[in-house]
Amino acid sequence: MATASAAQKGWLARMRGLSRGERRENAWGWLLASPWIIGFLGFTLVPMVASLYLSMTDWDILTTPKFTGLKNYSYIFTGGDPVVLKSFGITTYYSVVSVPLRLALGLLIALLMNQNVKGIFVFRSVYYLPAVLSGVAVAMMWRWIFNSEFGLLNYALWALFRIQGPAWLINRQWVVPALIIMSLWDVGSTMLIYLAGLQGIPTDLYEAATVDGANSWHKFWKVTLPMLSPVIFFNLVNGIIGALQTFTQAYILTEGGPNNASMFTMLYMYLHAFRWFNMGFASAIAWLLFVYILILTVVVFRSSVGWVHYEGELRRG
Amino acid sequence: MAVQNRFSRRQFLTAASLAAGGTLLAACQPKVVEVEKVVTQIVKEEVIVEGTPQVIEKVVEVTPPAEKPVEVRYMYWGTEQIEAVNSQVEFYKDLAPTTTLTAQLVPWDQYWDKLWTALAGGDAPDTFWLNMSNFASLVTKDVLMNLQPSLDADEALQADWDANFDSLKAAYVLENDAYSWPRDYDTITLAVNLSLLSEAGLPFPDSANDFAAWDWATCKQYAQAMTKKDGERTTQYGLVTENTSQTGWFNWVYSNGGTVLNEDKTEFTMNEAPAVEALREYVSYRREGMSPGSEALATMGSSDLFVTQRVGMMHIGSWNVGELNDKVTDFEWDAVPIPYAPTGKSICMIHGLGNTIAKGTKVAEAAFAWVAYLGSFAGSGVLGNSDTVIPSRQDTAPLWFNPTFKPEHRSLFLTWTDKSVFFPNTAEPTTAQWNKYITDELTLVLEEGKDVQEAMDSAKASIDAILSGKGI
Repeated sequence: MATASAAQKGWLARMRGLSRGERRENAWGWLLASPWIIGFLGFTLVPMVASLYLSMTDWDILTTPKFTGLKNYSYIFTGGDPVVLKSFGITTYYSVVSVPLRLALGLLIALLMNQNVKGIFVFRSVYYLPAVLSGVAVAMMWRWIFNSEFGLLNYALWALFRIQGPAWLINRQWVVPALIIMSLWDVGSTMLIYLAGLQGIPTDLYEAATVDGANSWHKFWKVTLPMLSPVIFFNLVNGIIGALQTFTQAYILTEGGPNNASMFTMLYMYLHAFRWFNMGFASAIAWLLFVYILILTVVVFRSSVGWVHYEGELRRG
Repeated sequence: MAVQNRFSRRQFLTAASLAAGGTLLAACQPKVVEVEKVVTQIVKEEVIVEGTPQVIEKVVEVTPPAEKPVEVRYMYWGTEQIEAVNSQVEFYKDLAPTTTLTAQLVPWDQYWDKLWTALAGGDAPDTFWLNMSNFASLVTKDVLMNLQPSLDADEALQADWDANFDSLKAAYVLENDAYSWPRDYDTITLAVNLSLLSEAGLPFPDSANDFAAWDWATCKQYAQAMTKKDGERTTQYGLVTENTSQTGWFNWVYSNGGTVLNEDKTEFTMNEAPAVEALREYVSYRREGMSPGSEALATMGSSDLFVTQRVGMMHIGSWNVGELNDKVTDFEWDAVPIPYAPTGKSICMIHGLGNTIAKGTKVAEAAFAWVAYLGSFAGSGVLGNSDTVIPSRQDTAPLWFNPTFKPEHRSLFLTWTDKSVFFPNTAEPTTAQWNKYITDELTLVLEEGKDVQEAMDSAKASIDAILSGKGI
């Protein structure tokens, strides 16, 4: 007969110490939290643990996985499949450019949308609308915009600047910049979060700054930005995670081409998993991406100590 | 001693085949189906003697028992064949009223993801289309029903199987066992816009001796004549050369004596001289401005460019002929073979699909009966009359070549079956995995002017590594 562990004994002792009402309340708590707990276990934790194991196997999804240890990882790092590391490079390049652009453009639009003018709600809706459209439909629309011969973008470049635009989605140098431009399309969601942050900044701070003789730039730099820094931080973390998980645009518009020039890590993982049915290898890519995102997120969190200011926060020095 | 009666499909299918004539004639007049239902059946008795099940050899004719209603799911990808598939389903309803067939169209882009994951999850459709690229791979993974025991046990079924073209049967047999029942086959030609040809002042290519004069030089001359420019801008192209194998470079490579892989499929061979020469010829249409580029093709597709008269010629698979006939309304078109290479050969890719049963199906007998119907003269005949794909049976394939169907030289799709080659598919690694390297390298050749030899040497390094098992 198994004996109860120290932890179990402790839990039992705590439960015995509770009144009937408290125990009932406890049970209700677990019951009400159970949908999330079951969902977390079934759709997150168990698949994650399974994929960690699968990343150390050779599995074609139809036959039994064959344990291969760290072969998949060593294959990646020894250049067995150079496209994997290339895809990380492309994804990083895309993220490094698109995330700051989205943050800046979102903030700029939010500042405009925060003005007290007549009909501002209409403008806010218009700027937010693109964010609610489906990714596939948007990608199809952008395919036409990027068309080098009939596309709106090249037409505008020629009409306004007499510049012959490139073949955006066919040229290896221009395909990622094209996708970065496209990423600005749904900046409305970032804008909305900024806008909520802007409206939460107490007006007395601006009044005090005015009394102190601050001009608009000073107010923006010394009041708005510090007060908005938690929101910027939130958008930055979400933006990095979202950009590193880019998939739909590349899948619909380029399929990773030309010659893997737009092969994002998520897309390459998908191709291995569901085109070539190398699920073990795809799991290894997934775990590398997970670790990569984790490291970047930790770095951003650590850096936030120096530039994110929370209301009411006291700092030394 | 326990006796278990098992419902057999044998006589039922025989009846279905007998009804074939009527069904086939009726196919020309849909919904007026007069099927004589001679539904006698045979019961095989499975006897358990001392715990060992045995099937008694004798068969007993009985009156038809009340069949339990069953649902059979059928998954396919051909949007141009919706009507044909629905017709087959409709006809089958009359033959097997207790079988509810659910035909599910899944677009090509999602088809294989869906099939593989459904097979892995144990929820695969009972029956589905299969192509040759995936056949060997799925057989080796033991997820397809082996049709051979049923074929061996029934002469009528065996006769239906034997009616298929030999090459198609061979393609769906692995180690003497059949795992997919051929349904159709495809060959490739070039489609020519006769109006644009006439505008360019050219006659239709000489059809004497199987178009023997239609060689690379003549084809290029025709493409050049049909290419039109307005200043720097090309308004009309001569021939579409896409970065694709079946309706593209494969045909040119093999016509010139080139190959994709060696005999035992262990080495990539498209970097050898005949293939490289053919690819250079193929690519020259792009480089010399006679073919639209990848972007135009990604936006419109070769078929739309042809229908809108922006190109004079394109490669066309037999499965697209009916659809093209429907779309082309304001000009005439005809077919010519793949141009003869300097080797004196014109070779096209042949391919064919099969109807397949998932090994894990819970309605094995009903699924088999449906697949056998599709392979029968009746089922295949419906397909032949639909002007979609060429049926795989030798006796129903001629239906597709109905002389009243356009274009005039439609028969080339049949003539060239003797001059056709299968794509060298592999089971492990899958074809898709190494084929990508060819496409990637050819993209650089077509879009960025990379040298063909250099590109194919580069592809060889990657593909040989995969084929030798050094890859993932």
